[in-house]
Amino acid sequence: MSAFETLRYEKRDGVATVTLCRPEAVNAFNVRMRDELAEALSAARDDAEVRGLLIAGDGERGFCAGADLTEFGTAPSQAVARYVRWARDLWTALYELPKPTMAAVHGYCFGSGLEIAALCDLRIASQDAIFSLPEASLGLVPAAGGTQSLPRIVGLPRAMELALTGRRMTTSEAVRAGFVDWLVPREQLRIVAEARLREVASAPAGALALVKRAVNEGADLTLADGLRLERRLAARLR
Amino acid sequence: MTTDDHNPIAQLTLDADVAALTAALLALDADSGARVLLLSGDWSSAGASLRDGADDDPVAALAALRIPIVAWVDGDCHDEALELALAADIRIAGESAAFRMGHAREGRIPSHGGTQRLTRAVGRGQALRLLLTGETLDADDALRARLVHDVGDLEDAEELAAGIADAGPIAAQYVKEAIAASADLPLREGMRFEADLSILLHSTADRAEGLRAYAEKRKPRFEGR
Repeated sequence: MSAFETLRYEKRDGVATVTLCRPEAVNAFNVRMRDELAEALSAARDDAEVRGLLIAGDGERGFCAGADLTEFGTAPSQAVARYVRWARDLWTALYELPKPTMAAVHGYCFGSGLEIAALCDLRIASQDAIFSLPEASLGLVPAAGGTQSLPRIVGLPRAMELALTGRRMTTSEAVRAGFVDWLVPREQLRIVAEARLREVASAPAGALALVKRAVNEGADLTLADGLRLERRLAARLR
Repeated sequence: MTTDDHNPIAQLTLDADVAALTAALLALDADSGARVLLLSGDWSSAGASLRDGADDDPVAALAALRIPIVAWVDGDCHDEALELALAADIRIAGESAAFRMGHAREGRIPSHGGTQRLTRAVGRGQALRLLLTGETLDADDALRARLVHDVGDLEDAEELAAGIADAGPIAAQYVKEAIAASADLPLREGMRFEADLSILLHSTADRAEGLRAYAEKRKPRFEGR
């Protein structure tokens, strides 16, 4: 179905793979990619054959080097920028996709690249992966949910330290911090990622969607409300 | 207790004088020059004064600071001292640091946020263990419990503060604000907050300077406006 310019969308045995595909710019995230990723996410959500979504990066250099800064400052006004941000809320769409999601990260995983990975449920990386949130060192703040998603995974102090200094985090630290779930050799990354996600997605789809919802929504509730939510969702499977 | 107006790293060294600490923190919040606070010194004496019921509330003043706060903790950091340290954003422990939340063992309970901030830092299980048993954690225990971010000497903490001081100062304050809010906001609301802060930054000269410096492959010169 791939009529996309900045990414490839492929389906194989129940797993849809979105490959960010601007290798000449280390897959830097631009406006076109935003629109195409939003389309790919809707396709993956609505296609019953798709049981899990894998996001990977094309080319040798990395998963995604961050936002394409050459496009910054092209929005006509702050009011328009704010409108556009919510006209297509693809970050919430990714976070709330009712199927397991996994990022397969190699090389550079900077800025919005890291934020995309942080919005996925699972993260697998090759040993050469390197993580950074350089926004503040450029006078910017992360704007793809990084200030909200990263502390939920690695805790506030590490999230603050990474986001405030732009320091590069290696894979061994990322594993210790709980950001990367599995580490594999580079040449096996795609194969292992797809196999592992397929295995995860082989469980009954309804249960996977509901357990993901219970965890994500429950994290934002009081314990009593979270327990009520869980009971309500569990009742749907009986 | 001194801060240097021209140094982007404000350094406060703790001693028994918590009134001076509170005054320095309040002055710091009004000062536009400092980009990060490094807090170190005699945690034990500061904690003891705080316990003796000073009228001043340096913990609240610390927690209200807009700039990021790095705490370097060495020696005994017990009870009120630990409550003070918990109000910092990033804690680095020196080799001889010792952490304890022993209020309940003495028939008291924390009153400077200890029950709330400790639980958020280390999780409910570890927090209850520390609060109920009053056991002491050394630097490595504290690292494993995620009570501190790292173990290192004062130079390591200074290096971290210098890294933070290099960031765009308004951006750094917004990053701190957004990440701190992540603990209290549902993800959706947190993302709205982050997006609004991001768009508000469009109005700053620092953002334009950061992008220009990136294009010109040089270090940005941020002015905090």
